[in-house]
Amino acid sequence: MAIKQIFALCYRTHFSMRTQAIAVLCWLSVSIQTQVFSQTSSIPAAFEPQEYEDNNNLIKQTKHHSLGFGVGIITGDASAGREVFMLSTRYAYRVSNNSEIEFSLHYQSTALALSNAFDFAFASAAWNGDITAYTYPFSAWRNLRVGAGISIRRQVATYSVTRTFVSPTGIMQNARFIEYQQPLAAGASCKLDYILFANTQIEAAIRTQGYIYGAPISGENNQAPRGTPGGGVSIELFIRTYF
Amino acid sequence: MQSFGSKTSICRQLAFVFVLIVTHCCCVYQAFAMKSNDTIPSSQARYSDYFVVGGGYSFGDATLNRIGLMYSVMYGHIFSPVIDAECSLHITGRDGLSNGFTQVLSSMAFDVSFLGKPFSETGFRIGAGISVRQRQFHYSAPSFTSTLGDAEDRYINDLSIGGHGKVDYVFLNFGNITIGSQLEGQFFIPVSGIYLFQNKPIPLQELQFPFPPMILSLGAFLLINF
Repeated sequence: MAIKQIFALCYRTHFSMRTQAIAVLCWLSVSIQTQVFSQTSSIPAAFEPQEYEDNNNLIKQTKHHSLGFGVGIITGDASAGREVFMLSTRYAYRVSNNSEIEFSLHYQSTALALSNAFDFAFASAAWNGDITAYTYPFSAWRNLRVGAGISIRRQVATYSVTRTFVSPTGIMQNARFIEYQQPLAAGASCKLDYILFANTQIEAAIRTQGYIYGAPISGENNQAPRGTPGGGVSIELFIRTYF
Repeated sequence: MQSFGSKTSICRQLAFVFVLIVTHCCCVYQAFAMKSNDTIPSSQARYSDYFVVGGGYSFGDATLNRIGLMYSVMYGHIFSPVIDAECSLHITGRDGLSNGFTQVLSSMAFDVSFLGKPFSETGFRIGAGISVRQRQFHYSAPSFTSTLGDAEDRYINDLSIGGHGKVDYVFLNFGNITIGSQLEGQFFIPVSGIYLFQNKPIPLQELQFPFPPMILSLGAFLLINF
């Protein structure tokens, strides 16, 4: 019902898709947080988990493995500067109470058609694979977690344009070209998580990520034969379960 | 309408899909035949939710009737020992240069399903539900209209709604972790979108797309109960 109201409000105020997506993400994070805190506060003391940690209402985890998903918005060179939907999957291993190592996979796709002088059309799909080391640098704020690591990105893209050329007989002609490129690039990532809630089974958090990639290490790139550095930033809401 | 790819290629891919389906059916049959306690998801009764990560192959209009790869994530809620509800997101795609075609095909489908466990002694589930899909295609292919064999670039960015049916089977059960396979068929009806063929807008009513709006997929999954 609340989502419907948010959409109705966005529609009435003519907000963009990006604003609507951010509104829904915010609503989801707030509602989940509210539900969990209301549940935890109603649990009788005798049934509270023994691992309960007073600091910041976070549970001290005893399980080492976790699997989670995230949805969010990403912008960068792979989406031609547009804000697009991103889907994430991650597996993490807790090395110690203060450190984790995470393997994650992100997907984004873009399609764009412009009726300009070139009749530009573009489609792209990109997969990022990250390995990230996490730590909790602030003992007073256990809700904050930071990570850094390496990342590799495979992007596939096509674009088509209309070009005008002069034929040998002197007649100007239009021709349409389609180009394909498939760069593979390596780089680095940094991540900052704010943990909304955690219990012995579930954790939900908001994550911001930044990526930077070097020039492609392989793949065709007709526009920039030696390639150009790239990158992106994203924000997402993710949930994971421990096992 | 123009055919896409040679008949031999399509036959080969159909044969591949057929082999995958037969393999899946054999596994399900084996489950019934063995009725092994190892496959009983009795431990699932202790859990109320699950996450799933899966991957596999797909065949249908999302890959222009060729074999493509599929990646899936799901969240499920166990309502009772015989009924589950599941939300899933499938990414299907194919890209590259093949047979003279240039393509980036990306498709994302969101499903909501209800699954029943008619034979609770096995890890076998049957389900159905509704689906929403966004396709983002950009590819070059032989022109529908030209008789000279010209290629044209096509851009498709559309939204479809539809339904699906699925069958899945758990092979291995390690308590809160299970491994299985899933066979799913989806059909769609495009409701809105942008279709540009050689940059010429095509109304949805006049769209000639020679592939029925269906996808058949088969994959394996890892399920974590919690």
